[in-house]
Amino acid sequence: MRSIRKAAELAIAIALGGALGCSNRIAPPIGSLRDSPPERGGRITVASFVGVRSIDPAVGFDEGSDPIQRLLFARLIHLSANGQFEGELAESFDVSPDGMHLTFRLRAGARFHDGSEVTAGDVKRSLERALHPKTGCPVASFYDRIVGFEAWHDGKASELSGVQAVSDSVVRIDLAEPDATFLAVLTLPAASPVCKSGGAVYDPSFSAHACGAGPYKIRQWYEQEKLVLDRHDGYLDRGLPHLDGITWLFGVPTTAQRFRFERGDIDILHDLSMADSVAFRTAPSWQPFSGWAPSRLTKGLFMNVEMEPFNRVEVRRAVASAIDRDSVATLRGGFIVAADRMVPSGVVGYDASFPGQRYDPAAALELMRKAGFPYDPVAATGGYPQTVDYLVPADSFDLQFAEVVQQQLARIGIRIRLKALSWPAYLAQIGRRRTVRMGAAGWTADFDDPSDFYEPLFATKSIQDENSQNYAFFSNAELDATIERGRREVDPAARKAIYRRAEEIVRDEAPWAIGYGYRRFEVWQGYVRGYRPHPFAQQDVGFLWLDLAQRQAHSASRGAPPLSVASLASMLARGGAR
Amino acid sequence: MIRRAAWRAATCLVVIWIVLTTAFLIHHVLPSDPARAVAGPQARPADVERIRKRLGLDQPLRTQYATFFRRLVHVGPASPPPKDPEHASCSAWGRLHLDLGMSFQKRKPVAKLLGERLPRTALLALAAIGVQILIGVTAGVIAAIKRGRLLDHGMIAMTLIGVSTPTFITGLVLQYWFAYRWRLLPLDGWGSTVAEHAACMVLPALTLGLFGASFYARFVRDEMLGQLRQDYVRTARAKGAAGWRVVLLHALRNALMPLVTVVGMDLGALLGGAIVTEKLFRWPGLGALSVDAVVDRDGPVVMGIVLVATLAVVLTNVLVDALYAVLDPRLRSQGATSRG
Repeated sequence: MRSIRKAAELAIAIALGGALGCSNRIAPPIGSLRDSPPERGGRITVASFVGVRSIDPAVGFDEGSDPIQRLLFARLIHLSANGQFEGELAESFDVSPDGMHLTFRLRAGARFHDGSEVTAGDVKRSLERALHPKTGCPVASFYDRIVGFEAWHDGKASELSGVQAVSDSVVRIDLAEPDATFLAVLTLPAASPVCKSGGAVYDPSFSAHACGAGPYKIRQWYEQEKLVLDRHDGYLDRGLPHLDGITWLFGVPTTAQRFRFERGDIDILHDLSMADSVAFRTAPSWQPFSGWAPSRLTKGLFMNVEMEPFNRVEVRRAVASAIDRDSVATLRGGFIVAADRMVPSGVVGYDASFPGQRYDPAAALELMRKAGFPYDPVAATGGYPQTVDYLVPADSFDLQFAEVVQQQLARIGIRIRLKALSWPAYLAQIGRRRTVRMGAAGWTADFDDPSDFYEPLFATKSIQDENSQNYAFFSNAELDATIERGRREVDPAARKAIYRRAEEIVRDEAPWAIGYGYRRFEVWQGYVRGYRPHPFAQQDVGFLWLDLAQRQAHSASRGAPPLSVASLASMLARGGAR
Repeated sequence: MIRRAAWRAATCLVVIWIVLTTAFLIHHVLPSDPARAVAGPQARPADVERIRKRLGLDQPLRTQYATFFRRLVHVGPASPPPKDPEHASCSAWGRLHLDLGMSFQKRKPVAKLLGERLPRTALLALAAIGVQILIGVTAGVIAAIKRGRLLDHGMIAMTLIGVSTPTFITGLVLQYWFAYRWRLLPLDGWGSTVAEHAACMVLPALTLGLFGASFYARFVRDEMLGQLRQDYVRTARAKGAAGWRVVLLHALRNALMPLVTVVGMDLGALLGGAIVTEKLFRWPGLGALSVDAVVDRDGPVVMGIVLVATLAVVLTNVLVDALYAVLDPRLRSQGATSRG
């Protein structure tokens, strides 16, 4: 017995000693703020927690792939930091007044990584490749308005007839019906021209030597571990990019990213733990070298309008009024932002002046009374008599949000029971008709247009018996008509008014109680110039530059790294030890 | 002898078939949609349906099951044409083909993916087992010899820490000191040269090894204490054998017998992939692959990993049984008697 106690005491002492040795002090930035013109040269290393499914633009459509694809593949048009479409490979572009014909004139001299010139034929071939039936593009249906899409995508046509190379430098896309979202869809990687080596259909081996017309080209691709890129000197903008190259590390845990960043081994810190983000945000020296990337995600809860008690609009409105979004936003040290409308601030079309769903507990109680479920909060009696199951993916912030919702809805007489499921199981169940009454809901922008939120989530045509994306099974004739008008309307001012009306319908009919968004905090070293988190794109590092003098000064002051096992092993392997 | 070997091989095959069938059924009855996982959670139904068809997931379950086992090991051309769709996902040894299908997510042949990942996991598993045995056996023997003394208490304390500390904590502490503070070793990764592979392997092997060594130390200590009380030890000492000889050649040899089984089981489990450690250290082995595959509902990869893990456990068990026969003369004589 004594021996066990002695051993336990010793163990605690050793464990405490080891743990106390690991401090959370952060090193100051390397370099300082000073005016310096863009200069050419230097390489940076960046890291991301997520891996990359595929860097081939025809099939890779996920959080990890997008920033890489932007470096490797130039698109016809892209979105500027102020939310305007501007030409990348296209020198200019026109949309016909009826919105059904788009013409793109390519810049002269734009070249692929293999040195060949980008032509209108390449644009057509690449779109056909992405939408080929054997390619399996996960966003093929985004392009379904192109004339001849169905026939081509079903393998029944010899070409995608709606995309025509008018000349070597002019490409025309014809749509079967007006689609104001089409420009936004063209900014997606799937529409990027790829070299002729990409072939006519997706080939897995293309990723190893992926070839596009983006500002960087592949030097080496260590799958799932790292990607080494070099500057593409044939990129269309003279003088861009500034960097000689970029090394991208994948699957790096947040702690390892911070260790690397402080050692100067990575230059931009993208994934921070909550504790680390607080440490950086409260350090004055890091203020000029840090910033928030806005949310492109809207989260909340859905209510199935085909099921009791959410078939009564008063109950849905009561739920939306009972959620204190500001209290939710305090949960994750700044990462969570309160949201009261569908379109988040990081998506083009966000309307800052719109009055969204509002926290008003008194109004919520009144609405419950009107719905026939009066609740006395003092005596805790009344309310909806049954317990409602609330489906939520396990191990996510959705679960934390659900716990808050559970407490807040109890105050208006709605008792919910949380059912945490794995993500795929959750997804399968909420999409099944008349199965789930309530659950966590969320949507991330696929492309920059408000329609991307309303059409899949609330349009009647999105309702299916299985795998429905309209989890609330919400159907509203006015909203359907509004969405349809928005899709066809090309005038920006008119579109803004249309989507404001859509926001109003969703706010008032409340198929969702909107709760929060998620933003990301980034930190970069003091010698990194020209970098801010992009409002609409993650890790947009392609065109920054380095204050090379400051960086070199740091490298010199740091001196040679101490002798390490790795360097010793390297020396031995090279025979250097002799 | 031949009959016994054949019987053993047949039971191994049955075990593998049962495990694969169970995994196949579990994977298919889960309430989630692999096609949706491939297309992305926000993919439109039309895209999901097209992907489902392309992956063959629209076929009845029995057809998919039959196709999997029909294709698993089959005879085909010795060198199939490079773009032959019939054998695009096969690994061929002469005319014998292994076909685990194409990964839904990575869109590469699963056999090729496993071929890339398995050696890395095996390397890490062997290194970790080496650390476990080296540290665990040494600590266990010392603790047993110094029973009740400070060294014994120290060893028990260390094993207590080792056993109760999850690998992600041990790994982080090792990363902090050895890679971040002292810069002796790489933080993580795999490296691109043999020297870098070796350097990158040290911390994950230590992380896994320290965890396992704690178990081994306690196990060996208890076994050694039992052996040191045996008559044959007393006899050896009475006959004037040196202390170290009694401990190392007599007591330890017998104490290690049960450890062989434990090492075998551990090796089998580690060959299936050390999920947390591989993720923490970005070790591109089967563990990291299996996490992604399960999360992404990548059925062919899940089946491939289950096959490898089952084979690893089954084969290490066969190996352990063979080792027993070598190490324990009584088993050899039993075998001889039964043959006679």
